[in-house]
Amino acid sequence: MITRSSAQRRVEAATRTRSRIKWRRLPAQVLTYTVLIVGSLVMLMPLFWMASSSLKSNYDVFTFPPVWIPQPPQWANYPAALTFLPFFDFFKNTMFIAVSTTIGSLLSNTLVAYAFARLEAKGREVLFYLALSTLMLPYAVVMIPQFVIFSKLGWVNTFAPLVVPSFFGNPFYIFLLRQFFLGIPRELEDAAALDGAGVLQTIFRVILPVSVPALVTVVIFQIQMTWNDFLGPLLYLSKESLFTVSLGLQYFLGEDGGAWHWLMAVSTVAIVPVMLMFFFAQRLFIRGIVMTGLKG
Amino acid sequence: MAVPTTTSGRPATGGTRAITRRRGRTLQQQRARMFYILILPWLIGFVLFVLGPMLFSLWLSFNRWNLLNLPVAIGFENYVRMAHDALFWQSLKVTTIYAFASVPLGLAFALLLAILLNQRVRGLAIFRTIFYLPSVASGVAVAVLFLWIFNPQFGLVNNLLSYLGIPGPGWLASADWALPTLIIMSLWSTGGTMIIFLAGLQNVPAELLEAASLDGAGNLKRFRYVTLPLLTPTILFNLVLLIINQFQTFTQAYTMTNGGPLYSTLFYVYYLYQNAFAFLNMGYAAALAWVLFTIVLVLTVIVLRTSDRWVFYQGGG
Amino acid sequence: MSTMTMKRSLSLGVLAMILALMAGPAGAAAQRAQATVTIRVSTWDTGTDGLKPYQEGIAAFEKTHPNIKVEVESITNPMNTDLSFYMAKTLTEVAAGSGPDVMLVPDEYARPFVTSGQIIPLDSILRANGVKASDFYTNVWNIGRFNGHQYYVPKDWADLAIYYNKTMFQKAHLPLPKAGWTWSDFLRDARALTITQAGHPVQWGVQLPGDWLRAGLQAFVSSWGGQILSPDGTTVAGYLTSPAAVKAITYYLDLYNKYHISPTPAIVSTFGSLDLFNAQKVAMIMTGPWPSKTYESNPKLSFGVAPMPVGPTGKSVTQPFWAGYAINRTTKHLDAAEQFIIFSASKQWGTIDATWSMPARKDVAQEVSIPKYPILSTFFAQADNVVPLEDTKPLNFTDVSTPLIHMIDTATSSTTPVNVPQLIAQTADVIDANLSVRLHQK
Repeated sequence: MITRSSAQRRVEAATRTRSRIKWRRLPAQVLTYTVLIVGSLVMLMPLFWMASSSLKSNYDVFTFPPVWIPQPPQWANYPAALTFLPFFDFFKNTMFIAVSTTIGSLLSNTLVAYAFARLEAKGREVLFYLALSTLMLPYAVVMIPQFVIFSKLGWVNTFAPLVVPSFFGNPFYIFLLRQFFLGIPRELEDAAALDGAGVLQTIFRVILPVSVPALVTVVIFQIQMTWNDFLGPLLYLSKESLFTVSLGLQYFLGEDGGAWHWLMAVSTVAIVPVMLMFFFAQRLFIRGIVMTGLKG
Repeated sequence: MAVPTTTSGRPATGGTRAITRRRGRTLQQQRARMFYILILPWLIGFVLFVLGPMLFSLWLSFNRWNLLNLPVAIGFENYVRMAHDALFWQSLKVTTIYAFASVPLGLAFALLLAILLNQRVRGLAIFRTIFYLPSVASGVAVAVLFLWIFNPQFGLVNNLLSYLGIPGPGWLASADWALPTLIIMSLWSTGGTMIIFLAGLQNVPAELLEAASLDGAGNLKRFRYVTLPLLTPTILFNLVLLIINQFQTFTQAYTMTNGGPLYSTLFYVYYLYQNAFAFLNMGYAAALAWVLFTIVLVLTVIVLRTSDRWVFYQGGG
Repeated sequence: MSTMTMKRSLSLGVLAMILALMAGPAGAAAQRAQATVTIRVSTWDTGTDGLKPYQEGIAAFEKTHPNIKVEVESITNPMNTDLSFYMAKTLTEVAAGSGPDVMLVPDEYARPFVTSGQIIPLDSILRANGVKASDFYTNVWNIGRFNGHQYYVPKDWADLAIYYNKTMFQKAHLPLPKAGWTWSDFLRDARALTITQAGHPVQWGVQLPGDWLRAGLQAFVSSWGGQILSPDGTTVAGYLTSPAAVKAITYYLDLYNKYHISPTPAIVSTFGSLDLFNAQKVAMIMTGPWPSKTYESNPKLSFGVAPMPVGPTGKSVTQPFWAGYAINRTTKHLDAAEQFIIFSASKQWGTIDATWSMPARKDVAQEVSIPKYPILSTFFAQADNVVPLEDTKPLNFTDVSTPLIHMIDTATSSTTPVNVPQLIAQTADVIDANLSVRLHQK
């Protein structure tokens, strides 16, 4: 629950006496809930179809009119699909990559983004554009030379090409965090400087605590991007024991037409970890932030 | 209080500039040095993993390469050929339309969602998760799903429309409707953009909003004069990233339309992949890549350069 | 040194540098590991059926060759798309000089691999190990033959036939299709089995292959006795534009535009991977053996397989589909790779593979496939009616296929009558321009 500040309490006390405003809020509330519920149905419907298809026999997955509740539900699809290939290994692999790249991303990008946001230096703008520009070249044309580099390093068929680069910054996060850092009032850092804090201390003691939403965003994004990354694992992971979930899912699409019911089953299961991660992470998106040391 | 001065004799303003000097370096020079040190992780990675491949691909654009033999130098031939390649212009047109339509739509939709999901409602966590989930679901399953939903014969959408007495269009089977369909579809996975807006909304201090409402500002005024300005850094980020990403859209083309019908959804990067691995014209693909790069870079620079006029940074920028 | 040579040297130099830098460590490792050798074999067999027999075959191979370990690299081709991840990965590895030792190559890429010299001729080892061409279906074996040398061993093959829905035929009181039936029989059946309600088709007589050239345009052209390319693959003028080919293509397009017996390619692509025959929305489908197991496991589907109808030439012909194993020029374990290739041509491998596909060996087909999978008998029965594969004629078949695919798409989605001969002539010009550009690059 959100704790209420004294100012908030004052506002609420003031409005309590104005019943007119309270009634005015009701239609807005109803509207909000309606939109949310309708929107949720729209967003959920395809996912619901995915889950329901996972409980059908393969030849029943695509029927029209669409069957929403399969009769009888083929629960056996789940154990069958998940054991057909070592999916628990695939989940483990993906989790490993997700966690390590998240750590790498948090470590490297925070430092770099702060530098771009707060430390003036010659060539800063050019370097920023340079960093950003690396996002603009389609992967297809850097794929091969990058593969050669990693091949020469002996990293093919290991997780290294997927994990190591995350410790060297990612322009997407650099830009993201830079924007957030730029939005932090300078008074905080000035106060820290007055206390004799150096750059690194400022970052860890002052900037990071008030950047929680931004950092959580980095975590959410990195985990999700890892989960769905296909081309990277495709190129660098040839041994089945190293496969990620996204590679494993492709296995169900064979020339015989594919095992759609199993594909849906695994896809449904694959969503769960990310969903849980997000569910807990978004709690840190608490409305408003508490700014200490500004009053008085 | 006596105003401390630096060696140059100019009065220092505020606390920061009066602090320690080290051996003739001003704080400014010190901070500049820290800049280069702190960006080292990115710089090193850039040099190791990115610079080489990027330069290689640029060099490649002046060659012909079928991947199976060695590249053959051909000067500007690829670029000349591009100018006369009808499919190049088509893919550029398709991609530009898609980007210019889906970027503003995506921004507005994501912002709306973020605001909606920043209200004090019951089950907020669940709602937020529901709206975020679609962008997580596996690409293949999602593609199959949408082909299904928009199937002109038996799909959900046309079924619903027929109940309303409206004959549904051909959606992805129609050369006129395929691209709009994909634009609509792009809204379904704005979860990522929404998250960033949500995070940005957290940075709007509650005190300011309360102060505004105490002054009598209603919801709309508060949004316009307090929230929106403070959200501009986030808007800028989402705008730039959406531009960069939407110009490189690829997945929908290969999972759903193969660039059709009749090249109406021939996305630029899809055409690039075709040239690289199907037509075995890797040099031409590299040239295509660098043309796209230039276009996106120019657009991005324009947006960033003009951002000073409308972006407000709480920290002073 | 002329400028051309200098430029070429520069390119060579850059690439050589890259390749040399990465060749180093791998070469040394190979020297050390003489005892057990590991070779990599690539395939796109995945799915619920494709990989298991493969792994069985590998196990059998490793048993008889204890000092060779085989690592299978299996990458699927995603559904409903002409972009192949398998080829993207394989080509990336080959370009980086680290391609698999033994590669599975699809028919569309067969020629580029040969022309580039990336794969080695197999004549001597095949001869030395007693692998005879006569053991295999001739037309299938010869697909792997280029310039008088054998570059590929066929992994398996397939051809085209027509599945028909027995229930629907019986309901419409139509005789079931059988060998010797003609295109007019086919058309009559398809028209009778196309049902519309309120102007919308709820059932189509057939799902035609649309812009899938091999099964569609090429199948019809060959049925009319024509070809689309010259024997040396340098032009389509006089072939694609010949009276026979024009008649065949006109007939094919009429099936769509005049008789409306099939959903158009655009409509079909909106079904994604849904098999319309499996879902009993079409009475017939023209395709290969791949979906046969799915159809068999569908309790609601009662079906049969008929050979291709007899064409105006009085013959029934069918198109081949093929994939072949080749040895990568850069393999560091040539001996082991050769052993694998020989094994892949063996009866043992064919027998294991037969659980999944149509073996190219005649004996395996007769002794294993047909008895075990009677549904494949029609496909095998057409082995003598297989026409030579035209896809391997030009340097890169996409120069031909891309304009042809566009032609079919345009013609089948046109709302006004199409002047087919003119359309063909225009497309032929585009194709010849493509072919000419590619030829003059050499």
